[in-house]
Amino acid sequence: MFEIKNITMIYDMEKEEKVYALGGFDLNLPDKGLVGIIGPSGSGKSTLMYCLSTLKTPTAGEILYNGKSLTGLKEQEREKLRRDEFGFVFQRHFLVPYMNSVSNVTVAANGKGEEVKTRAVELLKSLGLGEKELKKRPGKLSGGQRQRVAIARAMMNAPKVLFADEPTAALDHETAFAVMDILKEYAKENLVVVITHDHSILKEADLMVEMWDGMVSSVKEGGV
Amino acid sequence: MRQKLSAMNYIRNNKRRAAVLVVSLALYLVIVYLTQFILSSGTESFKKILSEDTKKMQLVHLPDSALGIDEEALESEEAVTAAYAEAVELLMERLREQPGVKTVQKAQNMGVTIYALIGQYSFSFPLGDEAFLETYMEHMGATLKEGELPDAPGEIILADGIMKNAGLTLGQKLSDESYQIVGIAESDSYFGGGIMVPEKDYSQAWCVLSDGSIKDMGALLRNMGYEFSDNEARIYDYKAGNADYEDVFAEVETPANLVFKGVMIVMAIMLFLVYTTILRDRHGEWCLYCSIGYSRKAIYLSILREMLFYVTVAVVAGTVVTIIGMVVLDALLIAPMGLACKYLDFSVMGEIVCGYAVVFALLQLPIRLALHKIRTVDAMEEDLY
Repeated sequence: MFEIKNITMIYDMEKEEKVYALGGFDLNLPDKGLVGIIGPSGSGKSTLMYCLSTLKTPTAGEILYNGKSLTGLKEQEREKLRRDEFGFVFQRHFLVPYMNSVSNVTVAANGKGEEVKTRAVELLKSLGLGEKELKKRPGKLSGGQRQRVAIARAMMNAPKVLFADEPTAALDHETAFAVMDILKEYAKENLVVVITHDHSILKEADLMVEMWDGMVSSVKEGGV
Repeated sequence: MRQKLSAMNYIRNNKRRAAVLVVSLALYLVIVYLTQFILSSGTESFKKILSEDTKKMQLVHLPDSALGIDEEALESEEAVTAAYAEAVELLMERLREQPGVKTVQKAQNMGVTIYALIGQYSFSFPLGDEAFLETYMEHMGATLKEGELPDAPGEIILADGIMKNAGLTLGQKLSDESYQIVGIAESDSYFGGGIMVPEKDYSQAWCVLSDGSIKDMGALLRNMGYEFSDNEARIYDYKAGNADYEDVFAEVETPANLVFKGVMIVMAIMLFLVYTTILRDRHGEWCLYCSIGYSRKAIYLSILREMLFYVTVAVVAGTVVTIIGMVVLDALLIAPMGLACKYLDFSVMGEIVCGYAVVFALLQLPIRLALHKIRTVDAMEEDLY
C-alpha cells in the first residue's frame, strides 16, 4: 500500500545545524495487517507516521500510496485523503471537550443524519463503552474510555489505513491490551500502523519496523 | 460526502457563552430601538401640527407699517383707528380672494406648550367668533368629544392630547381666569380653539384657513404689495412650521446619535472580548478538524453559521423584547402624556443593520487570526517536546 523511497525529513532547514528526523531510507508497507513502528523517543517514528498520513511533507524522497505519489499532492487532495481513506488515533486523544462521546465520533463522519449517529453508537458499544458513557463528555471518561472514543472516531469512515500514535501510552496494561485487540481485529481487513516504544503491545503485529536515529534499523515479519 | 461541521454542536454544549453573545447582540437592538422610540415622542408628536396643520391654517400678525397708513396725514386718533380698521378689512377681503384661501378671520392667538419625553414645543391656536370656531373645527377635522362647544367669550375647546400633556381638566380656568376649558376635542393633532375675549382683541392678527396649497404666507402677502421685514411680522405657516420641525428634529438627533454610537462601541468591545476568548478556547478543536481532513474554509463556514445563528436569535429575541418595551412605554409613559410615537422607523433599522455589519467586520480580524493559527496535530505534538 505504501512505498517509501529514500525519504528524508530535515527540521530547521534554515539553520546551519540541521536536524535529520528521517535520514533517507526505503520501506514498503502491506495493504492490510498490523504494522508496528517501534523505537525510542526522537527516532523519527512519529515523523514517519505524519509523512505517511500527509500531515507532513518530507524534505526529499517519495511516498507512493497505492501507486500515487503523496509528495506532490495539493492541500485539498491531502485533506480529502485524510478524511476519506485515513483514520487517526493521536497520542493525546484530541477529543473535543464540550462534545459527548457520540458527537466526538460523528464529528469525523463522511455523511449525516441518523445513519451516522447509529454507526457511531455501534462503534462505541463494540469498543466496550456502556450506554451511560455515550452521553458523557471526555472530562468524565477514564483514560481508556477516551482512547476508545478516539479509536471509534478514527474508524468512523471505515478508513483503509488507521494511524495510531502511542495509542496505549496513557493506559494500564489490561486496557492497553484490550485496545490492541480492537486494532488487531480492524487490521484483518485494513492497514493499521501503530507507533509505540512499548514492545509488549506488539506481540501480535504482522510487521515490525524498528527505527533508530531517523533510520529504519530493522524490518521483521511477525510480532516482538 | 462529508458532513458539514455543525454550528449547533458548539451552541448546544456552550449555552452560557452563546447566551452572552445573543444577549449582547439583542441588547444593542433593544437599546437603540427603544431610545429611538422614546425620542420619537418629540418628533412624532409635533410632526402633524408643524408640517401638516400649518398647510391648512396660518396665523398672521403684520406690523402697522405694513398696512401703509400715513398717521401724520390723518387729523384725529379716531381717524387713524378707522383707517387701520379699513385697511385690515381690505387686507382680509383681498386675502379671501387669493387662490387656496377658504376663510380669513380676525383672531387672538393663544399659546400652548407641549412637553415631550425629551424636548418641548410651544405653538399658538386661534380664538375667533362662534361661527368661525365651527368652520375652523370642521376644517381641521376636530369634533366635540366631551363637554360642550364654546359659545361665550373666553370659552375654549382643547384636544385630548393637550389636556393630557398639560394635566388639564374640563371646566378648569386658565392663566388670568379669562379663559375656561368647556370642551374636549377629538383630534389626531393638538387642536385648540375658542371664542375670543373682545377686550383682548388683536386687530392685526388673522387666521387664514386654506386648502393646503399656501406654504409661504409671507411671500403671498408681499406679492399682494404689503411690505414688512421678517423680524416685524409674526407669520406661522408651513414654512415656519417646517423650520421649527427641523429644529426639533435636530434637538433629538444629537442625543440619539450619542446613544447609537455609545451602545455600538460598548457592544463591539463586549463581543470582541467574548469572541476572542471563545476563539482561543477552540484552537485545539479546529486543529483536530484540520488534521482529520476538514479544510480551513469548512471551519470558517461553521464559524459563520454559528454567527448567523447568534444574530438570528438575537434579532428575533430583541424584536420581541423591543415590541413589548414599546407597547409598555407607550401605555405607561407616552400615551398618558398625550404624545405620539413612531413604532416603525426604517432609518433606525438601517442603523442597527449597519451596527451589526460593523461588528461582524470587526470580528473577522480575530477569526482570521485564529484560522491562520490552525495547525495540524503533528505541529502541536512537536510543541510538547
